[in-house]
Amino acid sequence: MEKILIIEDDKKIATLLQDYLKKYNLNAHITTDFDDIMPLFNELSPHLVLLDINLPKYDGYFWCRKIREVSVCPIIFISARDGELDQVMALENGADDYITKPFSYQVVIAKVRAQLRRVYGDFANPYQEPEFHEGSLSFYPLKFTIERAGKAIELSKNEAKLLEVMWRSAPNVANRDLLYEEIWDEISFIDDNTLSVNVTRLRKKLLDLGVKDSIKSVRGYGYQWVYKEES
Amino acid sequence: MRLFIRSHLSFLLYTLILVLSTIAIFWLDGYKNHRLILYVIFLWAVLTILFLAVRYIAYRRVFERLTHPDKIASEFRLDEGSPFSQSFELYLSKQYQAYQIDLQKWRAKDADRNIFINQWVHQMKTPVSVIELMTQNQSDTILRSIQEETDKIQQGLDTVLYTSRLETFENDFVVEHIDLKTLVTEAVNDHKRLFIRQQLYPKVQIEDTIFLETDKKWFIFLLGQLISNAIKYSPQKGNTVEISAVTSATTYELTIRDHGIGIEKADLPRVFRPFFTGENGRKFQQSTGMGLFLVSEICKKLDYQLSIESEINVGTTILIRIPIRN
Repeated sequence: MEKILIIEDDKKIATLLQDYLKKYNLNAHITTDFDDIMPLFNELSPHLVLLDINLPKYDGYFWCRKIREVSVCPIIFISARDGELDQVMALENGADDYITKPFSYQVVIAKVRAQLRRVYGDFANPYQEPEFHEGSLSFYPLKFTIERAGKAIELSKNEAKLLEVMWRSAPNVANRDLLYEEIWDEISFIDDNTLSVNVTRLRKKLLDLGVKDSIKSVRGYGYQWVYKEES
Repeated sequence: MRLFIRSHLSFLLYTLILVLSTIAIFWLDGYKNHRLILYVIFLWAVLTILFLAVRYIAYRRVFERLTHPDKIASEFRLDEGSPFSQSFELYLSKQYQAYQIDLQKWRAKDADRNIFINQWVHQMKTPVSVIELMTQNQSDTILRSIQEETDKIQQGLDTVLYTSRLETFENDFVVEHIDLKTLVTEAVNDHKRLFIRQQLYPKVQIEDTIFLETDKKWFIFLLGQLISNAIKYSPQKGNTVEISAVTSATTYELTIRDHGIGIEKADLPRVFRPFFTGENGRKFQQSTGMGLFLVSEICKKLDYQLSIESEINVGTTILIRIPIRN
């Protein structure tokens, strides 16, 4: 498992990030002693560091330079400051990337994964991709594949994203707007139909695997994953 | 000089009366010598002119100052001219110092307040981040609604930050060569959640070939204000917000069009004023009246021409003319 060190003095943010990274099978650690973070860094020798700028005693730039004396591991800054100068300062001090608060989990995980992939390579990545299993049905959201009884079907990126959100939300109903956010196309934008079209396609692919009625529409609210194992 | 003469008119009148009365006394006493009279008049005139000349040289600074009251005094001549002139300069310099001290005090206060606002906004971003992370990707209705409010807080914080930055605009301006479509796309994506929630759809029609020399941060903020307005005032679901650009001879014309409630004719000329909320502000209660003011200020600084057209229940169109620079 890849080790990530989170250096952030706001405990809640640190814990939330830690929990989220753990969902992606990344071994995240939190710093508690801000007088000297180097002992923990040396002991842990993390694969990647998430570093806040405003810290008690010394700031993030200082620690970044300190880390750079002993390690070349990727360092991503997390900060509320969004000035050009702050970003330049961060990169000048040896950081690899920069995320401004408030940020989204998706951005963090995407940047973390990109850095890990770049530095340690795709194949060297020992961490496991998330998987979902229920009965005889298996779903690999990052490989866009769904499997049942030895038969595998490839999903489109949007279908995989939708299924992941529904599956994670179950037994609750996955909110329509939330699903929408997931498949919002950052470049060409989408209209009202896209969501229902994608859900229809997903249903059909599930049906091909012999899974019936597993996505229930809840009028005016969203969709619910209601998988029941049939023999 | 004119002021000097005008302020000495009474003195001239006084000398004239003296001369005439002296001559009159001699004349009435029976001493009628034309040459003596001429001599007396000549003497008086020379003495008067001499007196005025000396006086003018001694008081020149004072009269110079008095004829240019719009110039702020910053140089003082405390060792020149007559004692009156010197003490006048001293008085001015004292007044100026007092005013400067007062001004410095206010400047320092203003700078402190700006720093405080900046720090405060950044501090507030941490709790907003926490709430944001705790409510992200959750289907729960309450959490969705909390997230909606967090979005509003975040927008508000940004507006505060940019308002206080506007004063130091020049220090905060980084010019980049950047294409308009990317800028618009980024601004639209920033408002993704708002679009989805209101069930509105962005329609962007901009060619990839339009490049601008501008500051990315300010430009996206400006667009963001206009987009969020377009969304806010389009309560009818299923509509679109259209963002398009055409190239004319000397400008790029960027339009942002919504099909919302529109703006009252009477309010239209005043929408760019600070704190102006108008009829729509009363209906929606979320307007600070700062959005369009900031937009117009930024456009002024960037040398863009901004205009607005609107019709009730048809929609509002914002047009920005961006000059093409070679």
